[in-house]
Amino acid sequence: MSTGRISSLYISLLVFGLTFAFVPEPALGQSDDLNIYGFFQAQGRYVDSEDASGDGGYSSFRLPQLNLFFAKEFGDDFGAFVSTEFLNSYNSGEDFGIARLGEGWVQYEYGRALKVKGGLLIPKFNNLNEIKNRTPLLPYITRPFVYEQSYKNLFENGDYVPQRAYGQVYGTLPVGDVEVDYAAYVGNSDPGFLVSGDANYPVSGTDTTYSKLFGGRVGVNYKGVKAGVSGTVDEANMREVNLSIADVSVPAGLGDVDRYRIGADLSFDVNDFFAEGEVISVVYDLSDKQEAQWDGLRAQPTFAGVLGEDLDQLFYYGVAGYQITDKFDVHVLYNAVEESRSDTDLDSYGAGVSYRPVFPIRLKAGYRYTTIRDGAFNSDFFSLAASVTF
Amino acid sequence: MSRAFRFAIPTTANSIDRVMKHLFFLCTALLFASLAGTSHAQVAVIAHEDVPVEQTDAETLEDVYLLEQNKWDNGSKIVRFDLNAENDTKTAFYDHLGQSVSDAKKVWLRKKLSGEAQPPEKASPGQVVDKVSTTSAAIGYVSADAVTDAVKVIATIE
Repeated sequence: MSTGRISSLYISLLVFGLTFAFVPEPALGQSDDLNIYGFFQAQGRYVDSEDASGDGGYSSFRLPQLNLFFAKEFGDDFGAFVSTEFLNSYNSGEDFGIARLGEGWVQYEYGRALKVKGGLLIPKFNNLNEIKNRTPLLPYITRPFVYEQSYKNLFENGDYVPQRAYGQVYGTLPVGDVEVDYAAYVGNSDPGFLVSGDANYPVSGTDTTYSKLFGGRVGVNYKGVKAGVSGTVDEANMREVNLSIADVSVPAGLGDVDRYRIGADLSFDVNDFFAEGEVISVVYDLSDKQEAQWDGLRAQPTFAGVLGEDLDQLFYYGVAGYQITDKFDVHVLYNAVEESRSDTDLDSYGAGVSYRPVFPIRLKAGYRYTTIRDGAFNSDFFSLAASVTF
Repeated sequence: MSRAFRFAIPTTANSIDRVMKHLFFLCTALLFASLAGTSHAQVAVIAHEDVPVEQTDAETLEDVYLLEQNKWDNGSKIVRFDLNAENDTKTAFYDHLGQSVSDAKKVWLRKKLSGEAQPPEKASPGQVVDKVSTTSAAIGYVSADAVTDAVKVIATIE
């Protein structure tokens, strides 16, 4: 790696960070008016990777996330919220990145015990799913694997966590000193099914997914300690099995496979310590016929040593940190993915700091060490970022 | 000359002694004054006359100000006012809720970015009483000596 390259990158990032350090704090609060606000995370990183081809280091700036929100309340009971997302340095002129409607829902609130959302929404699953894209809330720069849009080429995020639902009932019930949270939702199956109509279907722009997603979460909250279990049931489109980490797509022809996501989360923020952990197990329930098909594929010389015993997936992560001052915190993080379908393990650990010169601006610095297949590929990531709410 | 000088010494010593005593009392007074400055002023939690609450506790206030409880028992939407500058009144209020001001800001940011609720509206100490008294379902907090008959006090924090 070139020292000059790194130095110039870091100097540029320092100037970039200082530019953000002197922006006045916007005042936002309750109002019947339309509230327009948003956030973005801009970052630069140096990646020092090693594989069979040798040193593959590079540095780059990017804007992985920019969200614009529109929120409005209607009287005492109703509110609407729209989130538009521009991902991975979106540029339509260069056919680069993603622009999409992240959320668009209306909510009815009977009280704390009962709220109903209808429209396009991010469902409650574990603790992180709902806020995975809200980078100003996260102490780290790069999110855990299955929540990070930048790893789209490595993982189908929709395999591990439900990306969208269309109706959700949720609320909080006090039981003595403990608060019990619940949520139940319904939607279409994962984006593997997402199509915008075809010649046989007359209405364009319609998701013709015929399989539905059902899911929910039950959790408890006691004096800053939160724990919960989540689950979903839907069908996965396995006409092609994507082994993204192994860079292979297998025309498995398994059709629709019943899929069960089971998650557990634990988090706390007590005194100046904070920690959060999650486990997600994705189980694919193959019929006897589908199992025989999969075994047949594995026996083919082309896929020998490529396909694993089953299709199941496992993800787990933990982050622990300490709030040194109101503005400054440090953390360590570990997360891993085990994909049985390709016999591939991927894990990553790292550490980082974040600092708020003013509350809406969170400057972050972090280091990650990532390995795939027990060290067959490994990378060091050095990142700096500014996460800004406006 | 020598006589004058002889008498001058004790005179000067007395002066120094007096000055030292004054300095001691001044420092003591300043110390107490500074301690008084860091102690929390009495805070009154105030509400609009139509709010269906006469007395409330820290737990309820925490739910209200951390945006967990968004409605009063009569179904009206809570309108919250928060002091726009950090001072003893604000610190004492959030201490009473078991939160720091920055912890509250983090909760508000999470609620705001997930579309669940908007943070309290900011107002200066002089504006809070006026805004609460003229806004239906409103709640706020001020230094106890700023309370007027236009609002009702639903909690007092020492």
